[in-house]
Amino acid sequence: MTGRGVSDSDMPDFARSSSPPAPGFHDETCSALLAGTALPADAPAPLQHVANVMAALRAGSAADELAGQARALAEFRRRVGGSRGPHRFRIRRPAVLSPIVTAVAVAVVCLGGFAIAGYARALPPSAQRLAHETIRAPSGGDGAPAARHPSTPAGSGSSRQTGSGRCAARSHPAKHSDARPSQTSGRGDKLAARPGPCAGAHPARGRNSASDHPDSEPEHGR
Amino acid sequence: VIGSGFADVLAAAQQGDDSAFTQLWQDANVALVRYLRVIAPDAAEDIASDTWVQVVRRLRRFRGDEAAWRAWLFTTARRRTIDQARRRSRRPETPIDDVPASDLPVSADSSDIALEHLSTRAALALLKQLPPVQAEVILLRVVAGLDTGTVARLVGRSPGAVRVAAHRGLRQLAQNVTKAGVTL
Repeated sequence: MTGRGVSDSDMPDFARSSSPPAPGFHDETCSALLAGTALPADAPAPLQHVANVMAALRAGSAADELAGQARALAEFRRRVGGSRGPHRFRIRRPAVLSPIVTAVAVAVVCLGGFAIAGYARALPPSAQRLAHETIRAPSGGDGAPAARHPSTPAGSGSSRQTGSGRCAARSHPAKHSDARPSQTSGRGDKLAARPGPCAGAHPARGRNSASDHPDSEPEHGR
Repeated sequence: VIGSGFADVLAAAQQGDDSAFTQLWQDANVALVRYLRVIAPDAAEDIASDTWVQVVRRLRRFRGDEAAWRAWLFTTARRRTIDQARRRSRRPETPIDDVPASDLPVSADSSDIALEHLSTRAALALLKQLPPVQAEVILLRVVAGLDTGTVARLVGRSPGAVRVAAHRGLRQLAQNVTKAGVTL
């Protein structure tokens, strides 16, 4: 940088444009050209030429400039046209129903999986108990049936009944009412002495079940 | 330009009226094609068609006056042009010299083009000689009928820069016309 004492002749001269500016091109005339307003009659020739170009740009349509109307109209009819009445709902229905359909599908899949897992005894104990009570899936692990069926020996008969996938307590109601503490499978006396949770479900068979075969097949689901 | 009846025409088109949409299309497509013939001369008609397809898909959701409508239309066209240029840069096309003559499409003879519109083509050819920004700004102002602020938003520049580009373009256009001795 030079100091303040430099003369004007020493300052560089930056030419902004190599060509001379066109005469008459002020902001007002440029705005008039862009807006399409009429130029004064004494406007310079370059301005008149540009005005002619602008007028040509605004000229009416040619045939080749209207060539794509058929495709646009076809797309319009497909997307928008004929939308009065039921067609409009036909368009919108998927957007409204899709969450509902999805939710129903998810619920069906979840319930189906729950049922399958319940019958395969692959659920956690609490969930298995819920499956057992709601959809008659097999009850849970080895200890739970023994507690519910205190009269059932802990041997092979018990395992057959619980392993059959059915509620042994309902098929042998008398065993609940006539349960003896000595036949429990290791549970406490209080628990074993209590009637089973299903004891009241078969009142007619409550007394004469001592001779029931402990290995008889369960009846649920037949 | 449709003018004061634009709102009714737009509402009818949004309800599915064919004649209303045709009016919108005929009013705007000429300007759209002319704009595209300068900024995308190789694919102007294709981009115009794609632009209308895009506009039709969202026509129901459009809200605004005629200026907003035209701004939306030309913004869509400009974006489609940019997308087209990107696609072409990724997938270079085969030069037409390498294509057998038997595979070339047959087009209408040039004599089918109306002679009275030759001046419009000459004007567009003159605009193509300008720097792209100047040509685009002039087209959006003159052909599309957009104001300076709308053009500035559309091209992503300040209103002052748009004004300067337009004025420089007009001056350059005057010089080109004078040099070439073009009479429209």
